[in-house]
Amino acid sequence: MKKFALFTFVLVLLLPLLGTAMAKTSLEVWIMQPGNQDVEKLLAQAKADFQAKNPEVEVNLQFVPWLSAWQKITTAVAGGEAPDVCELGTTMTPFYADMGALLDMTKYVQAWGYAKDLDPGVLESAVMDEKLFGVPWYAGARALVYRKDWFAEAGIKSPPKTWDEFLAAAKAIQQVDKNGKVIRYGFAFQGNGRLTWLPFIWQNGGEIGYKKDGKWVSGMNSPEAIEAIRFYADLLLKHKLSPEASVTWSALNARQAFALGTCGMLIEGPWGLPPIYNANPEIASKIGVCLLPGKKKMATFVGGSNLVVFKQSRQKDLAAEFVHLLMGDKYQLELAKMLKFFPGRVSLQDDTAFKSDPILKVFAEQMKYGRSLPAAPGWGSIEKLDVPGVMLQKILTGQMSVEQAAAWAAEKMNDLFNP
Amino acid sequence: MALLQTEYYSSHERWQQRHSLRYFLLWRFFVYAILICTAMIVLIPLIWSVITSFKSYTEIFINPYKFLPEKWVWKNFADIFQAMPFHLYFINTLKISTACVLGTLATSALAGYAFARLQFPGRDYLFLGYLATMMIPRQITLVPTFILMRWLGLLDQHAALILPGLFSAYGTFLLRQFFLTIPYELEEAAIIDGCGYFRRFLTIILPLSKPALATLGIFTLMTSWNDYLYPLVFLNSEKKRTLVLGLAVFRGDVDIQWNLLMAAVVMASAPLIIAFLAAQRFFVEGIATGGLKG
Repeated sequence: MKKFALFTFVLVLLLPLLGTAMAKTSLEVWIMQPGNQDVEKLLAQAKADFQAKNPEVEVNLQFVPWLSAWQKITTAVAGGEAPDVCELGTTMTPFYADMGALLDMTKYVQAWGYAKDLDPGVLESAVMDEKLFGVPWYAGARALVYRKDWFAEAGIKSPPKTWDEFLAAAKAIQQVDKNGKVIRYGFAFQGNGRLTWLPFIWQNGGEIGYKKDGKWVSGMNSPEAIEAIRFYADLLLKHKLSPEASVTWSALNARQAFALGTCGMLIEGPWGLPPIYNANPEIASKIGVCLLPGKKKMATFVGGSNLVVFKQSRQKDLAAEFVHLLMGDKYQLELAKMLKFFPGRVSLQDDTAFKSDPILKVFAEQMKYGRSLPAAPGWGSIEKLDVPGVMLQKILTGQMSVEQAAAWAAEKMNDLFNP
Repeated sequence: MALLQTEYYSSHERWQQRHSLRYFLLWRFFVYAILICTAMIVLIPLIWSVITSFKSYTEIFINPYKFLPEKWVWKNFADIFQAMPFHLYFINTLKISTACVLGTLATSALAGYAFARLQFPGRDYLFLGYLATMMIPRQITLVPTFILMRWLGLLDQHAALILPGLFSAYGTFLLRQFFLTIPYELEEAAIIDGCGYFRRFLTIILPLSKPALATLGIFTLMTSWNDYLYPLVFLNSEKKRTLVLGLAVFRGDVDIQWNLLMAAVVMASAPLIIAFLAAQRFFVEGIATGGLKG
């Protein structure tokens, strides 16, 4: 017993000494967990490339899980140890830009000659006060994915182009068995996927948020927005075109329901197709893609990422050089093909690989109508509190009418928009 | 064990005196049915994850749902080693957890003994102050701890996780309360034999406190083994990650590889279950000593 106690004591005393010293100049690169081993290998290759060119540098490449990215990056910035290069989602970029944590990349981008070549949809999220706080790395837009075979059975000749045609198509493919039980639903509704339904507001000529006299204002309670929210909510509430459980569905659940043949239409980006094929390989030949239906105009949400350099970086030029490498033709194209996204550089989006594929072609076309969520300083807080999502839930659960909920969301957003 | 069994038979006899054997069996059937149902509620998610770990990706989503896999896919477990250096993460986690458990046991037992038996001015205020730190959530101390570790140059080192894990206000509280239940007379006898504080602590208090130490050990092991936030923030290099961080590999933004995730979860939680079973012996022993003291 005595020996044990002594041992424990010595151990406790020695532990602080375990730390070791740091190595040569290191470049911290944080990339979001791709969940795809090919991408990990590609980035490891980029790291090797960079180190071959800059032998004195050790690139420390790290994958950060999407779900915990806020926490890790915010702590690192607050603690003064932000990474040099980092990938940020389009909704995260304005938040860190507003914190003053990001470096203005304008001069670098101009030097590389990419200033006019960046995807406008993603770019919208990276520009604040006419400064460029991130470089669009990859982009992708959601379109309407549907079951060709169900459409044919229902006698629908061409995919829907307007809201009315969309609603009619969803009703036409919905099927009920003799006991009154629905065996095929028309649409995979997402109660928990704001990025799929917020574009309805744009399609109806409304705005989620806009700048007026230098201040951000919420557009959620405009007549256009209210009509759009009502149209979307009614797909479930009034027309019952999706299972009741879809009140809580996220992109993941909706994708699964589509893959299993529960629902016949889905708002999804090209990145969502491989998981669908994995879950149900037979479905691949039965899938069609068309542009999201429009009302006053066409619109979709562009998802994607920016590459940013943090102001805290002690080697900003080196960090920018790494971004330059990732923005080069080779890595842009390879990465886009692996992720099923499109390159962040517009000139590469016309690459034959995307044009020859009948499905990717539609997604590429959809990109032209792509937009980002408001690049307002307060959007980060709105996102974290999920104001639009909570608003939709209030409507779906019958707590509030569409007008009341929209007014509630607008008030909340106006508070948060201008901190 | 022996004590428990005597108890059991005597109640059995009392039952027999009052009722026939048939009633006894019926009653026992009823009790077991309830126990099994309750156990199933706890066990089904566990069983589900074990079963899922043997399915292929396609079969997980099959409709209608099948509980057992059509084909048992052992390859999932091999695939984990492809996707991440499981053995490395395992060793990392083991190292951090072991250090935290040993450290917490040592510091909490010493502090707990001091708070329970030593007389010194301001003792109770100090104890209350230490207890009050339990009210502060770990999320709040995250940034200060981060800055401290940066100042110490320990970022991206396992020491950054071990150092704060060596002390526990909860553990000190738990052990102090347990020490207070040990009759002071036992120590008085030792004082007469000429034992000092440290001797009494080692030879009387510690051996009698095995159940409390086992409990604290298991709790600390569980917290540090399952911790996500601190390793996420403090560790950067891929080679230094812990198991729980490693599991994130299977959770991409667009897709979750449930079968691999579950296989990894099963493998990652097995040591905890083994540790729990091993510590169980001490719990039973604790009940036995309680009986002897009467």
